[in-house]
Amino acid sequence: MATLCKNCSHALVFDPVSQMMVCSSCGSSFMPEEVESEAKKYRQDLKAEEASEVYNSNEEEFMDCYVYSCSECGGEIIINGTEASTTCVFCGNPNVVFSRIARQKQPEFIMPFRITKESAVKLARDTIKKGFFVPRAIKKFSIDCCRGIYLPYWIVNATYYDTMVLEGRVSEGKKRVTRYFGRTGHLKFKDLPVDASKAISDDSSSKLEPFDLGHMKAFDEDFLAGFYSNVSDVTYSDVRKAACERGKEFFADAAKKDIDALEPKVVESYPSIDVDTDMKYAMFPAWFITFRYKDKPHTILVNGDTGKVVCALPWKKVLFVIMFIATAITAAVLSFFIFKGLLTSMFASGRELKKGDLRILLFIIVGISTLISTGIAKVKRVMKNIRLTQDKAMFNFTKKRQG
Amino acid sequence: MINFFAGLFALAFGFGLAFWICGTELDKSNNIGDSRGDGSAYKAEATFTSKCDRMEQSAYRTFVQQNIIDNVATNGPAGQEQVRRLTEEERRKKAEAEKKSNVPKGAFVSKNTSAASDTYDMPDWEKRVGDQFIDTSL
Repeated sequence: MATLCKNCSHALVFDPVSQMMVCSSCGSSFMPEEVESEAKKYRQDLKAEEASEVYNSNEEEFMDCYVYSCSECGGEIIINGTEASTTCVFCGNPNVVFSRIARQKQPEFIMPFRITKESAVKLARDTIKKGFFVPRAIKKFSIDCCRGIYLPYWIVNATYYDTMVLEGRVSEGKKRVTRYFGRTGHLKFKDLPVDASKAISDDSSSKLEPFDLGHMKAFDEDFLAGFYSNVSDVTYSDVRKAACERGKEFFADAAKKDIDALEPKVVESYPSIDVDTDMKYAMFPAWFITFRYKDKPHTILVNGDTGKVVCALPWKKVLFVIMFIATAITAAVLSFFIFKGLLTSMFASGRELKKGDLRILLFIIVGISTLISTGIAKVKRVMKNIRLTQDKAMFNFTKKRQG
Repeated sequence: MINFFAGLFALAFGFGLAFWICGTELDKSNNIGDSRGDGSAYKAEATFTSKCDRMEQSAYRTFVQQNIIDNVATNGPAGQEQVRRLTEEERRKKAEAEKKSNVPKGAFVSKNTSAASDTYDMPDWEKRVGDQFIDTSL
């Protein structure tokens, strides 16, 4: 049910710019915290019918779906079990169905949208336009849909424990050798947001960070008006696993800083975590912009608070290959003369090969292999993130919403 | 022979540099917003209780065996239970339990450095413990 304007009874919508509830009909605006509406009381008793019962069907598309009536036009609203607010497909008015969920499951905090739909699209377009390898068709993408969705997060305090072994290269005399470093200890961290929705991957949602927790407000259903939202559907085990992964990252960073070695790498780790069960439940804003390129779905995420854009896009392969070959040939030709000079001086007739010469050759070989492996690692990372952007589950998470 | 090896090195270097330049440029151009909050954003402070540096491969197993921390038993609900907010009652009980167990480890150093003050600045935890163990038999 929508919260209605006191002056004209039109549905109010939350405006990210003014941070007020705005009536598009008469132009009145109200502070969300101050709106005392019948809607909030009405939502407490809101009853939903299971879609499978309404349609007398056991088809998969009706599983975990509920049917409501739009408070404005009486139209049918179908939402799944984790959605808390949506838009009526018939009249376009916002509908919040939050209070069907037990109060204990309601968030304590909400970070209201500060970025408007138009700004989110502009930010995404401006960022993509700067990409040298981004195909022209993507730079001018036509939006499939753009939805503002409040994502559920648990804000976690935890203590992470680990016994970690790292390897690194150290100097011993004139040699460089691999040695191992052991670190045991604990690491406390505070206010880590852990994604509480199974529908989108932690890899994608964590890239929306950082969130400024100072922008959080006490939860009020009216902030949801005009946006979509999901409620938490994760288990304690999911949260512990996600917090443990982040804890391991932080612990490894701290351990790497603590040891005196080159190229430190974690070899073994025996982690455990104690998560404070008194977690804070909050909703954070994100814009999901979807488009299709070469028949593949793509989803761009924009942090609804800071405007950070998250996506990885396919690249112009021909341009990449041309640039790669041109760079390789130029560098090869230029370096040929340098290497020729170097080798000639090393293998000059009557001169014995010195230890220093061998060290130079070894340095060149290690340098070349480092360049190749770093370059390949970067390309692989881009490809992995492209798969996340093209994730069908995330595309459907955005697309399969009413309105 | 020298020309052959110089050519080989030059080719490998050319490909290596091309991989690095193109990979970096591709990462910058097409991989947008690929970062997340680091430890400092979440006030992560590591405390190392045991350290061992420059071990041989054979020695690090011993380090692991000596220092491995058993899985920490959490008071939290079972893993497959859906996460929920604690009720006010649960929060109150939890806070009380934490207060009771909040006895500092190690020696307590009194802040009362002035003998003239004639008062003993009993720390909070001592007051709480005292409340529980008042000997009423006297």
